[in-house]
Amino acid sequence: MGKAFVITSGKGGVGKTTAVANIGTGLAMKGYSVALVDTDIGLRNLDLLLGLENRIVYNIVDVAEKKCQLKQALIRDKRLNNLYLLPAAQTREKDAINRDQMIEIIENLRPSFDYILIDCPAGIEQGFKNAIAGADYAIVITTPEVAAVRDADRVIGLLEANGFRDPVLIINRVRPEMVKKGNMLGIEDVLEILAIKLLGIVPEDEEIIISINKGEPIIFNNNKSKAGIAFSLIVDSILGEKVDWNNVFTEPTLIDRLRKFFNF
Amino acid sequence: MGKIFIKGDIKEGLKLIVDPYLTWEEIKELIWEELREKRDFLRGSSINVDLKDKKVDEEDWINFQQKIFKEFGIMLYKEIFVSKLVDKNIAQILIGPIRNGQRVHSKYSLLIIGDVNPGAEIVSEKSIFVLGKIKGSVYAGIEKNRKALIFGLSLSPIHMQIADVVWVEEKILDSSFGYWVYIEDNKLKISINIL
Repeated sequence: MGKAFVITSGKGGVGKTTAVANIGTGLAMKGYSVALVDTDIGLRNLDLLLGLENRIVYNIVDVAEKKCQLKQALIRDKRLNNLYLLPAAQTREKDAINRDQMIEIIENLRPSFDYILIDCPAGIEQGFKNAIAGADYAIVITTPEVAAVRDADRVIGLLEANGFRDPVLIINRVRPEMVKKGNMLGIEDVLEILAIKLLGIVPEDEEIIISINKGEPIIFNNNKSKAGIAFSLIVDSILGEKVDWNNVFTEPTLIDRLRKFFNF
Repeated sequence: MGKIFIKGDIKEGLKLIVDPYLTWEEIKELIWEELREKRDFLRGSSINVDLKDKKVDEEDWINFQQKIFKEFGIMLYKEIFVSKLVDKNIAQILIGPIRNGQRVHSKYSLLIIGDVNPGAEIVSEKSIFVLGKIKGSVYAGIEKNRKALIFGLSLSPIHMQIADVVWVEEKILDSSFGYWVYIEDNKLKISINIL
């Protein structure tokens, strides 16, 4: 039976969809079968990030309304044949499905997948309530900005009130040089406010924009970009491996660079 | 039950309870005898004398008090000394952090172990003790309880209020001792030490 994770943030634009696309792809690259569920009805983006926009026939609302089979709505990824997407409807609104329908869809996905990742819409209204309904675990994503951290705090409170015992945190778009100068909240500051377990840190990376425009998750060329490395470490940490985030993003020394250059 | 006896109480300390139907002269004699008998045991202590509603001349009382103190080394009090902190030892305990958007409302004192994050709202008819940072909104002693207190290890509240008195300063207070907030001269006063 698959484990269902919801990825949520409260605030918009902090990287929920990017995280779902990359973590999902990463888990699939490790050989697990993964379903990505986009619950952002009316503002769907997950299909774009995976480059699957033009393959959508049926969507999650069609499944909920029993207009089609669940299997018919699932789209297989271009690159990995064990990664599937259940897209959101673009011409409907958040209240087009309800909690019970959402729970039923997730339950029906469980037998055929190892991991189910649910992309939650921004906000804490119906869309959020739907998205968390079927999930077992919650991943909260935030950026090191006061507004995003406040919203994450609110969302963690709501998750705890809805029975999620230990939500975990991803801090996205961290700029180590700004933190060093004291112009940005540091990792410790964010963790002190939110007081939950850290799942991972993703540094700010221009490559992300390129990858989104291309429709190819950045984790594919994971040893070339900082964000790609970070997402693959997050995948490791979801799979239960220990990752020490303290040493991940320190600048490489001259010796490190020489070693890399001469490949020894 | 005899006409006089001594009672011990964790909250109020030692208490001398006297039959209120006796005259003041009889009471004095009874207390004298009682304390003389137990003076070795009670030396150095302070005892509250419960006279119920009996009226005693203030000068007479002070003379008696001093006489007892000189003779037995025991201090007598007429007023009950009850802990300044809480009216009743009932406190609701919450494990924090109390997060943005959460609202706690209690008619008892609140003990919060963990931070009160920005956007959280803590409301109590009595005192609020936070073993953590106060960064949200705290309202102690609503229902006009001006004796209520607030304690926090660090203060940078969005809103802080005891009864009808509002905290207006914006500075952040952070120390390892913590801060007590209480009403004095119609203003919120902040002190590291409660006494």
